[in-house]
Amino acid sequence: MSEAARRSIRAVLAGNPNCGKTTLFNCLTGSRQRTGNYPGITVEKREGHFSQDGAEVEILDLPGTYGLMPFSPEERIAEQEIVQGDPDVVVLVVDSTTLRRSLIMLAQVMQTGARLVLVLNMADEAEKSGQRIDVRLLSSLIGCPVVETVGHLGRGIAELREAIGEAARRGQPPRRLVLGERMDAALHQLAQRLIAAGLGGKRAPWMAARLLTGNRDPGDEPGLTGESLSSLREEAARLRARLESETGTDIGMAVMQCYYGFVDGLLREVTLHPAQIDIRVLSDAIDAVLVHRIFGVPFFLLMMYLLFWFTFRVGELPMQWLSDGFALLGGLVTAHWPDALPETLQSLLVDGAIAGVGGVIVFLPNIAMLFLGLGILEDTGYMARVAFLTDRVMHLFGLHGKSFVPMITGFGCSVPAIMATRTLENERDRLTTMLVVPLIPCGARFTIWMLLVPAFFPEAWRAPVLMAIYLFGVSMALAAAWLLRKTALAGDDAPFVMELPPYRAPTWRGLLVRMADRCWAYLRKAGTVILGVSILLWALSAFRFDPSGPFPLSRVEAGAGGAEASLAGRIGRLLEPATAPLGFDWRINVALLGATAAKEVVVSQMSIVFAMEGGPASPDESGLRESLRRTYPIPTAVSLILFLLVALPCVATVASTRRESGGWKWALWQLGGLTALGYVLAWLGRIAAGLIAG
Amino acid sequence: MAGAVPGDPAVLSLFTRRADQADRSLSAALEDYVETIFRLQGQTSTVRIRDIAAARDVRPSRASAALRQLDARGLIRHDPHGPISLTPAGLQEARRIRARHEALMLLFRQVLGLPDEEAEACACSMEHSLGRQGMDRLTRFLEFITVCPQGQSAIRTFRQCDLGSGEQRGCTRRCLPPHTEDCRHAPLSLADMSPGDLVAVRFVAGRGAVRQRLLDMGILPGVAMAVERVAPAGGPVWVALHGYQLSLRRKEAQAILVTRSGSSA
Ligand SMILES: Nc1nc2c(ncn2[C@@H]2O[C@H](COP(=O)(O)OP(=O)(O)OP(=O)(O)O)[C@@H](O)[C@H]2O)c(=O)[nH]1
Ligand SMILES: [Mg+2]
Repeated sequence: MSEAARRSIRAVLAGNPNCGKTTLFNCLTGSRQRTGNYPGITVEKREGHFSQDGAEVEILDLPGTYGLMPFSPEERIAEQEIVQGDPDVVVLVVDSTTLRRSLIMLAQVMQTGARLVLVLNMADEAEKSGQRIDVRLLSSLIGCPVVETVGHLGRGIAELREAIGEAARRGQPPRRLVLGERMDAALHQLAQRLIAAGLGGKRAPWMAARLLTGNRDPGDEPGLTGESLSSLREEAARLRARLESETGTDIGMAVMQCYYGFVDGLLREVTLHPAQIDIRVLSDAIDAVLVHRIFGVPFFLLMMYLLFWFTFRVGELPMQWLSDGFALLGGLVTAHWPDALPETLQSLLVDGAIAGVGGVIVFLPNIAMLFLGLGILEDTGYMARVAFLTDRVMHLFGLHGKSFVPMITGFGCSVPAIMATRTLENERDRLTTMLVVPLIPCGARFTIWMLLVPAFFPEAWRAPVLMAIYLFGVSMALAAAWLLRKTALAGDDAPFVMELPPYRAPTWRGLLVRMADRCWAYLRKAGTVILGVSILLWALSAFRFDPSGPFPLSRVEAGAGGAEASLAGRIGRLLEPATAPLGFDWRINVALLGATAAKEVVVSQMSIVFAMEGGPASPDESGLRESLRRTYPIPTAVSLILFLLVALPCVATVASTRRESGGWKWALWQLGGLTALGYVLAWLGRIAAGLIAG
Repeated sequence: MAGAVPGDPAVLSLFTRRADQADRSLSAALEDYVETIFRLQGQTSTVRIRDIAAARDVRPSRASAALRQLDARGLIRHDPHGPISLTPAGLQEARRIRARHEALMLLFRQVLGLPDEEAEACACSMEHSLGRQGMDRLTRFLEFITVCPQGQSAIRTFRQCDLGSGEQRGCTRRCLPPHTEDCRHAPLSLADMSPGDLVAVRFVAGRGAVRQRLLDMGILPGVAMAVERVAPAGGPVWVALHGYQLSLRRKEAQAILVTRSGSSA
């Protein structure tokens, strides 16, 4: 085999936020990284592989940026990967419908001297608008392959693969950038000085641009001694002063104007037909309703209501089937249990594993509907509008505009949400968001609502109650953020500039794939953590301490009295003085202990306890809800819901806070603060509910 | 002092060395001699007349005349044909002169941003002509302006300005809040617009990352924008430009100075 065949190519995907980098990354590598129609979803670089012409291509998906000057953390990552990382190919993705803005990055990447593939994504929308670009001419003008793609439909992917291989093979850097006489002269002069100082020739033009704009020194470059560095800086300052006086603006503006001049010139050359039809007509018409000055917020609330209604309505029937299925399974195992095998094993299987894990799995349809609904909201682009509508409120409570993405992510799971706070530059903003994110009701807690809400509230009330739970969680998050910003994390608030993409029709495939991923993750968790904890909880409920026998444990007798005597009963009873004001009994106490491992365990524990008390197993949902209703009065239900909503963030959440905040301090504050808050709220909620109900 | 930045400990220690007790009655020439001896003492173990004469570029006879005067004031020890050294009083005087020089270099180089040689020339011509009280005040002011954070940021803003051209306007505008820039034709910012307005960008004020982000997104002088909607109660502003749409908080919108070119409504 030839040399080329064994080669490996390192490529990076760069470009503006929301131009479809991750969509292309997923197409190229077959991965399933998160995408969505609003900017700022990817926060970390992700690596993937594919092979092209026998060469192994290692490709990196970067967070989106509007430029390469390293101002924000994303820009720093992008600059580092493109300039310092020295990849074989930079795949620059641009949104074809906003070329005038997107091609600024082309100018900057060309300056870095990287080998380049330009991807004109969203070609479908550009075509619809009537815009036609002479791709061949564009390619020859900038001296690198240009590919048109439609990411979400996978069109143009084969060509893109080929172009990456070709760019790596051809090995020639793009054409020199022409930014106008004065700017070019200044940059050239600085670049010569840099080369004389021993800086890599390829990177010199970019370093020169950075020096000239003066936003950071090349001091991090090895091989630059203090003396040559300061003389370089002086030279840059001199050139800057001269350019500024010649152009009559500051250098930042002057450089940007040159970039825009380049882009304008390029577009004049290569545009065969300019866009004639405004593709946003429909989008704007929808916005006229959905982001209406007065009705915008009510519409948003209605949308949420519909989402919850939908999860109940559509999820209920399959849930019943699953529930019947597990009941049947339990019954079958009991009926056909061979006498030779111990009865304890049967109980473990039926009351522990089937009741515990089954109790959680039955809510799979509801979970699927929730993520389908959230997926639709994310993929259409409505989430960006929600950010616009709610920004005033977020701002009022001291949350940064960028906190929005972590908060939305928090509806799925707090752990990735805490990781998503990395986009926040300011440490205070970041900590504030991180600490309040667990107050956003996550998918795991959704399972609990699915059990408790129908158990205690009549049909017509269910969706409103669920909505109230979510609104309350979000309000608490805002209030907590406000408190933090007033006390421990006071400081100025940072700016927020966000692009609003047009509404886009989600693809069924994309929605279903994501829904399937989420469901699979849910099942995996049910099969591992929840199964483990269920078995533990079963053991605690099935045995009691018995010092008389040879073995210090013995099986408890069936029935309510027996269960109470079990180990779980003992532990739960021990905690009762603490939780009595909230109306919790030993069963709930044990469930709460289990819930620190994973919130769904509350459901498992309830299933196990009532299955064992109910004698022969019947892990049937309506049966379980019935038992719950009989055992607990409404005020206790309210306090339980409030406590689970606010208190006791799960182990994974606390661990991610510790990791992301760099120490135990804030993680423990989060754990303690939320638990204390939850306790007080639950207590007040119980009193209030008691007053209303009584 | 070479790499010192306003506000760093090296600069602070400079001010603690402010030696203002010494009687300022030396002539410029004699001060230079003290300075020279101080420097030479740091370089060689024994300082002789001809070293001093060579360093000052004068004939040895002139140098010895000056040294006699210094000897008379008790600033140096000098036995004929032997080595020359500064007395404790002389050392103190030398340090005072050095500190004054460094303070002036700080002013011309770090604060005003002149190149090294230029700064050196200015400092040399100023240090002898400035009276004791004037120098003292200047030193205190430099201490204040380089240590106090507001002063530091003002210096930074000033240094980022277009210093080459004689134009002060562009620079002063940066430190004014956008709408006080020019009171006669009250310039409007994007935040003053209402939905349906068509505007043209005049200037993008502000600094650092936010301004860069606005520029990166294509908000440059001359660019046309349409104000699509404005969220109630001081919420963000939603504009369309270059075929895409953008939401900005009020504060950022205030940094974008515009002229109204019409209204679609
Ligand atoms: N119409 C159309 N939509 C596309 C195309 N490519 C991607 N999209 C959609 O554009 C949206 C943004 O895609 P992403 O891949 O998340 O964008 P990104 O560049 O990774 O965004 P960040 O991670 O935020 O920087 C998604 O909703 C995609 O479905 C395309 O070619 N045409
Ligand atoms: Mg992405």
